[in-house]
Amino acid sequence: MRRIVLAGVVLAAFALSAVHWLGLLVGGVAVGLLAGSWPRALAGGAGFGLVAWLGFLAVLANAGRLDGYLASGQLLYVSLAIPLVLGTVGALSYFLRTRVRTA
Amino acid sequence: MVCDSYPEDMDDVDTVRRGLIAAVIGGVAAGGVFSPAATYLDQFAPLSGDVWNATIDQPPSDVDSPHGRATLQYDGRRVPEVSADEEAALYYAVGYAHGTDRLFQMDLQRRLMRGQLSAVVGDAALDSDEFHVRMDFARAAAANWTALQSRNPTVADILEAYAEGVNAARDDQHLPPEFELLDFEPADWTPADTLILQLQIAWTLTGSFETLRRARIRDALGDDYDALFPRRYDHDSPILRGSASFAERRSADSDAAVPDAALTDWLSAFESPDGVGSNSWVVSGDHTDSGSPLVANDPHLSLLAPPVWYQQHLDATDYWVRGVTFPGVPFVVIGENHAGAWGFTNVGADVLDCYAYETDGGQYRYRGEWRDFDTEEHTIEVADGDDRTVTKRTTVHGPLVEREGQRVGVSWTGLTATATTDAVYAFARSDGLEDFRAAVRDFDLPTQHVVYADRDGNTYYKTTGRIPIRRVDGEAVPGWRVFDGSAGEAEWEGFTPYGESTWDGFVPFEEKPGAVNANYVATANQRVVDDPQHYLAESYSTPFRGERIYELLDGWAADRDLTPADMRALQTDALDTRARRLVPRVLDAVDVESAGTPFDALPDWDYRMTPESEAALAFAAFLDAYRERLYSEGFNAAGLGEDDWPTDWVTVHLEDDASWFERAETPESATAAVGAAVDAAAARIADEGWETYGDYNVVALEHPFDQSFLNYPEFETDGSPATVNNFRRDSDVGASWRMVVPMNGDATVVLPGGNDGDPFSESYDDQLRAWADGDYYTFDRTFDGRTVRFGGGE
Repeated sequence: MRRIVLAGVVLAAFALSAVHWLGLLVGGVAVGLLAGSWPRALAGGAGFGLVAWLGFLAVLANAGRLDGYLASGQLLYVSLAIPLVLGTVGALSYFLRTRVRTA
Repeated sequence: MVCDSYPEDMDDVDTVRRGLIAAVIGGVAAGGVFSPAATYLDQFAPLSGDVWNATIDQPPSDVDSPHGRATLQYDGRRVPEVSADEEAALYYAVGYAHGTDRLFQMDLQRRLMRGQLSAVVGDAALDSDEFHVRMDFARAAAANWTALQSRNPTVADILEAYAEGVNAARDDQHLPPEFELLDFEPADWTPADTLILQLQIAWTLTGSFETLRRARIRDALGDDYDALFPRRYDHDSPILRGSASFAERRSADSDAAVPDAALTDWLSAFESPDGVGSNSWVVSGDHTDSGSPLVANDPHLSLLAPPVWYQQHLDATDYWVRGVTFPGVPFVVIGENHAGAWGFTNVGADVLDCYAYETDGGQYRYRGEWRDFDTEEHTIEVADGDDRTVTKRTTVHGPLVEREGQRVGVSWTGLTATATTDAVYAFARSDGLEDFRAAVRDFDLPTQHVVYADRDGNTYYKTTGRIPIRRVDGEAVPGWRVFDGSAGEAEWEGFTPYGESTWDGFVPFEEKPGAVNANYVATANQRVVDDPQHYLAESYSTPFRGERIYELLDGWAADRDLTPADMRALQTDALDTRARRLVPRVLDAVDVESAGTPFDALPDWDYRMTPESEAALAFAAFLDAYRERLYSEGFNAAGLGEDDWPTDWVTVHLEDDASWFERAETPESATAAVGAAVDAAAARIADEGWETYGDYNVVALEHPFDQSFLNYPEFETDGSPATVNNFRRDSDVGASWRMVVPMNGDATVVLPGGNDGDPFSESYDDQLRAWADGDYYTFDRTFDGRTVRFGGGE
């Protein structure tokens, strides 16, 4: 059940990410809250950011802009860092839970 | 371990922990929204960033047009083919293409000319804005638009349809990424904006304060001036050869006033970059393999990312036309149509005069009476800074430009209504030589050499543009001095600044140089004819390119018939005739074998400036050092700078006995300077780690924002400032478009960059490598890319 909820929430977060960057943070928060342990939470948050970025690459590729993006240097690094950082920070939400798994 | 039992005293710890975590997450969210980081996140966040939305957005498949049906289809290089039955529909779609592919460039150029750059980039552009406001190009464009509407309603309607198309593209799609980066939205495009862009090109080609610069240098150098700054270069390759020996024209009178460096240097910052010029030639069918004429053109303008030109192909009911235009201008400026082909180079004609006045407060003396300056307060908006108010002043001659108490009045042929737009429109529709010649009569601005050939086998060359005749005491005089504006000296008869001119006192069309069905004519900004009927120019470009083009054409034409491949070889010819003149002198003065690599390659060199050449590197570095050695200290001592140094024509011909070497601050002789220059060049080459000319001669073109993701990739390339394949690494000026058009086959072309202004598009720079390598592609008619259909409005 938790996986279904997780999948639904993550999809919603992707949709939100398409209109605002807060979607990346929200996605991380959702992953963190639903994770079984803090390492999983943080890995899941970063993973969410990475998947969002890969989805972004697909959008660029579809528009014929992937090569230009991959050659953009600084912009590439910034736009990769943003989802990774936001997803991971959002996943800190794991520690908002009443009881946390410490190992 | 899982904490199954939870002590009560841990509740407080948990609360603190949760509070901290909530603060971190909330802080990141709030910081991302309210801190400066918000800009970066809004622009660059994957999926939602404005910059990304701007680049992935493509024009829709169907667009409502108030002018009826048209089709726009791109080819693989983002070159649009636009077809329609009605011209209004055609040019609406052209506007849509320009608005889709180059909107930021268009907006930036009109801001430059209107003096509105500071409003978006801040006070770094204030000087530029002040100059453009004082010149009041915007008022000239408005006057031009007013005149055009009554003179040629057909063209006026087209400009309006074009502007509507630009604005529709802006409204239908995300704005280009640059607008997102600067966070502003462009205003409506208007017909006056199109006309002000035409003024920008004209200013780039003819807006010269050479009179002021020369006056200052002449004052500073005294007796040495004439030898270093000759009015005419001694050569045998004018554009039209075979005329009588040229006569030196000298103005007997001195300048009415010589403004000091503060004004002259300030004005010089807004003139053309060094090296703006061009090559073109037309070869009669009598000398071609096919029996049909050949037209070639490569205009040398600032090389930018994206390029100054935009390629397009238009299909109307009764004509087709293709080539390049300036984004913001609907018509093909250089190219070919169903009946012929044409190209342009700059004349360098003197179409700007400066006037000094006797002034008293807000008045100036004119023909014996005191007149008020026409004044207008203008506020320049400055982003993140204080706005600046400028008082614009004009006289009967035109704008008054001022700096630190120094003032001159300016007349420039672009500050009045011109019929150039009518001419360019008519070029597209022209049905052959006579049609084209009739259209050329309307080409008022800028002064250009036009070469043309039609598919019936005719060829044509003409000096175009309005050129004033100055008269003092009833006698025609050259325009190379500052005139006494208060005395009404040398005024341009029939010229009305910011209004409509009659051009009565200008060189009649028939009296400007021209040739019909000549064997071949080559233009490279050199002297037009040796002895013109009228004064045309204060000076011309150095003749290195012109003499080389004629050298090759003469040699080839004597042996065989010419082909398009010959024309391409000529456009990319990299033989430097400066080297041919100067290297023997270096070899006489210096033991280059002992100077080592790369100087030891000079004795066997073919004088070609090609990337793999060691000798070309040696020569280029030597020439830089030689100029430095010859002029640096001497000019500094005279209060002049590097921009004031003589041309390379003077440099390579400077003899040991020149009076210049009698100054304390100059070398003992040219020969002595050669030796010292080789040593300096060797040291520089070692410091830089250069091995061949390709390490030195790199084309590195920058976007106006100069950001790595917006700039073009760098490539080594052929050419030098003096070769036919013209490239100036120091000012990024070179062939902004190469075009070879046979009258019986497909044109071959290349652009230094790409047609799409979107920095993430494959077509942002997809032609640059070919350009750098001297390659071309066939400008055929295969259009199989994205299609936009325009409809409605019938």
